[in-house]
Amino acid sequence: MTDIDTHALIVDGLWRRNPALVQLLGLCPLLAVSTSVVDAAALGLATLLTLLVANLAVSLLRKHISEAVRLPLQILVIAGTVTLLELLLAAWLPRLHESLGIFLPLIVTNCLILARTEAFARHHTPDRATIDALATGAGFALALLALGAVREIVGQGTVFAGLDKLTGHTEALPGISLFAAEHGLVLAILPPGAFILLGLMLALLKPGR
Amino acid sequence: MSEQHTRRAVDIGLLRQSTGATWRATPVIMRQVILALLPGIVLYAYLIDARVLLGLTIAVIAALLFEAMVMWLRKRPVTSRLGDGSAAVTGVLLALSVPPGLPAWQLIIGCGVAILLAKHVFGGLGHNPFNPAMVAFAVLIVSFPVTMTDWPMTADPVARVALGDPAGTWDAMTSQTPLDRYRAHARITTGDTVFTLSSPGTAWVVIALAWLGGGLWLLWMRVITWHAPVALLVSLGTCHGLATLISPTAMPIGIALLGGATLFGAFFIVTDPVSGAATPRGRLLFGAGVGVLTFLIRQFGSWPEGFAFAVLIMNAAVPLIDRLDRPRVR
Amino acid sequence: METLPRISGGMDLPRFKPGVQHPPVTIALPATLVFPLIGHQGRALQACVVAGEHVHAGQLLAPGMAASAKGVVRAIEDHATAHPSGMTAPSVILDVDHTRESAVDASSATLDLAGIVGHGGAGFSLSRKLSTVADRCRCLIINAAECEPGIACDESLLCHDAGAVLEGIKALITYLQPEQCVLAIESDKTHAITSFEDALKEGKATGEIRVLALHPTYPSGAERLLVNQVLKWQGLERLPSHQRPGDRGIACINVATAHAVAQILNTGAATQRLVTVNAHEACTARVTLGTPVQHVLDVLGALPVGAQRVRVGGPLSGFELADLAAPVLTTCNALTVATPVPEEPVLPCIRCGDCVPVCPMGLYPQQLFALAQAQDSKGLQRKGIDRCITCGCCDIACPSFINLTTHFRSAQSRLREHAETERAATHAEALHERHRERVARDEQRTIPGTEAPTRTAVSSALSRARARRKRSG
Repeated sequence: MTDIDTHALIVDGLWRRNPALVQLLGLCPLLAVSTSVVDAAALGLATLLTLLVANLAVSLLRKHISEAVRLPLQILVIAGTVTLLELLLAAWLPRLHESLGIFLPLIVTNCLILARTEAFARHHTPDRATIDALATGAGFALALLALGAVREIVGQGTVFAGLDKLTGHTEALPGISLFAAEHGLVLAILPPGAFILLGLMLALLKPGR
Repeated sequence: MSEQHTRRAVDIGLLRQSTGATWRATPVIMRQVILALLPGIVLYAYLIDARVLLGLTIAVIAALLFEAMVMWLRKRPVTSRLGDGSAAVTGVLLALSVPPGLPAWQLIIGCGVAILLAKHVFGGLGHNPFNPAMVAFAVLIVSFPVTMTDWPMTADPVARVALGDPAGTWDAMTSQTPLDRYRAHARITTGDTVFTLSSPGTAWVVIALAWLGGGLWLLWMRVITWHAPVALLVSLGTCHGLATLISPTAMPIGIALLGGATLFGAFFIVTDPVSGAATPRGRLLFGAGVGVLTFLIRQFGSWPEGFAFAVLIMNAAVPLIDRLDRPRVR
Repeated sequence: METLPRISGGMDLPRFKPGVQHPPVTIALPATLVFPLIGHQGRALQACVVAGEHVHAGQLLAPGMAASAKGVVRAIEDHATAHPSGMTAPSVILDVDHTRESAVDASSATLDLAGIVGHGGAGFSLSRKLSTVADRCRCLIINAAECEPGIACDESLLCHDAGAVLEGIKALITYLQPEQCVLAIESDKTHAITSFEDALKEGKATGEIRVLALHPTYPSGAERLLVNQVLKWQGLERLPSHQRPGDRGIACINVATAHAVAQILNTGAATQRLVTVNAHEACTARVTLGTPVQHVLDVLGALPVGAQRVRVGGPLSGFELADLAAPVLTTCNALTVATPVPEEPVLPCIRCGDCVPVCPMGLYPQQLFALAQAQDSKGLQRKGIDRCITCGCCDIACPSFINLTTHFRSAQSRLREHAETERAATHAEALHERHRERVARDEQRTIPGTEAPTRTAVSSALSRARARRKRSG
């Protein structure tokens, strides 16, 4: 159980068992926040960080957690991490905090994180758990980023618009504009567009798997 | 007795031909639908905007190319399926549903959505739960609200007089199907002013009547059945009639039935066999549902024309209608 | 003559009725006859003769299967049959004895119906059909409708042998004592109607049997539809879907079956039937049952050449014959020799619903097709697949050339098989349950409990014993 190949862990998390594209976990934030590259990247990073902390904590505590209360405890750990993260963001990047809105605290309920702590971290050593968290979190963040990029380009013809939210610049950064915003397929920004584009992405990736 | 004669006892194809007045193959049906649209198209080009012909050409070519591409990707015979004409019909219906001045690339995106997303994702001809042309229309109007509501009106004499531009100096107005115009003016004027256009523009009425004529021809040729169109017109008329009884500022029944997409949709959209109900009773229910929903969206929704959305919603209800409608076994 | 209303649904197909002008051609007896041991709906029959046995015409070879000529059983072995699947089946092979039959004493012949199966499509046993309505027959319907194009054997029978038909009908009337007897025939078969009415006048039976004219719509001669039309004409409710005609005291019997009854009365055995043969020249052939198709066509000089194939039955209900050695049996009404027409490539169903108005049973073929493809047994039953008479109207109506009827036929047989295994399973389960109960009871009785049996247990045991005694003696 403990000797899982590091390489296999990384490949699994990033590609073979990619949480978003294969296991279809955490679709709610995936579809709701992927309207632009910046939002997607921010939420992806936040999820990755939460997963990392939660996985590590659960793995460290694994010998002291009793079976009966493990779920509440894991949720507690995750919720604590997310609260910390939210407060930090509110302090340092208030505009990003504002634009992510409810989806930041909702990371607590992202089934992806509980799935990793429950299925992996509580059975494995901290180093394994760290690698798993990094690989899985990166897999999720990349999928989010890809969908965000596609939706932003198709929907409003820009990439990296609003990068200032992430970097903390005070002046607005318009990002790279590819074509006029009124020529964008507004549908791509709307929730149904997220479903359609994710569906197309899954279909395109299917033969490669 | 010749061999030809004996064939009559084995050949189901000959039996089909013998019932000729009622029977025709699927590709022939598609051709007849296009034929029925022709008078309306000619009048549209002559009275409203000749650019519709360009739009039709682009849409048909794009639809056929997308169809060919998908058939090739799906490793199916390409030519035989292009010949069935269903992709061409989709292109024609879409081109007639959008404003004639819609940029070509938007129209092509629409065709792609219709053929790829609405049709082949679900398995191609016969398997699409939603009407491809209406899916494309919905996607376009959501995505390009400006160009999708840019209806020309220079050729519409009644509208010109009514709007105070008898000389025809304006090039175009935005949002100007009779229905849109009615909505716009009903909000800014009171009921008894002549200015509110108590009748839709003549040109649009003439075209609506051409759609009606084409539809009646299809009925007579038994390509379509009367159930869905009649149910649609009756339910829509009833809803608007009741509305005018309750509130005098509501849209008059004449505009409701002759304006907008009503007659075009009644005979060419809700009669789409694939995405509609397949039994007589089911079609009555389907048409009536589209009528009520169209009224509700027109009256209370934010979109100028609710027809496409009404059709899509009822498309989603078709499996339920199919399931509920049990045959009365003889 | 009164006319029945047109059925709802169905199709007005061309009235192609070959070979009725000339009297039937009698086909000479072949060297061997073949009798496949298959009964109604493909049930296997048990032979009651052995190889080497001498049989006479009319002798039962198996329940429901009579020999049609004198001869010696050569073997009981697998032989080609006239079946859509082209399957072989265990068959009685009879070497025909061409010496003259010893004259049958017609007066002593009893109406032994065991060997007759209906000459209509289904091949239902006549004796079983009659027994369901015996003593309470309200109406006897003689079905002379033959609405599929290319089949005209019943018409030919009425045109050229109406007297014998009438005799058979009279025998059936004597047997069943129905309150009313009608003969249903399409209105456009004027020649056959005149011929039968002449026979009626000659036989002084004009009042006894009424001739009803049907609108010549396909498939108005299907049993259920015909019965419903007659019921409507009588001003009665139509058959509810769970009832069979016999439940209402109605017997619907094919005109050729009536003719077979007459044959039994006259010669002691029903040995022949008429078959329409469409070849370069159309004719009606009088064929001894069990004759291989090969022999019939050979005698008529109509063996298939080149790409020609032989089709059994009409263009809708029929099928291509795989092996010409297959015998002509009671349900074979037509043979067609022609070059098959290549079938159109099947397109996807576009749900146009053209099949709905033509279905004579009021079913929704389009939905049944979708359900059959999804193998949704419950859905199929809910939409009434068991009511489908596989008439083929939907096949003709379909603009996408889908062979709907083929799908329905296989769905029906699959469902029937399923129901059969289900029934067997429930039966076995019930047996097992009873066994378990008995074992439990026995255990209770033999192993004495720790406490004394209660009063109620004793009294119920006593009452059980009393009941048992009463039953046995």
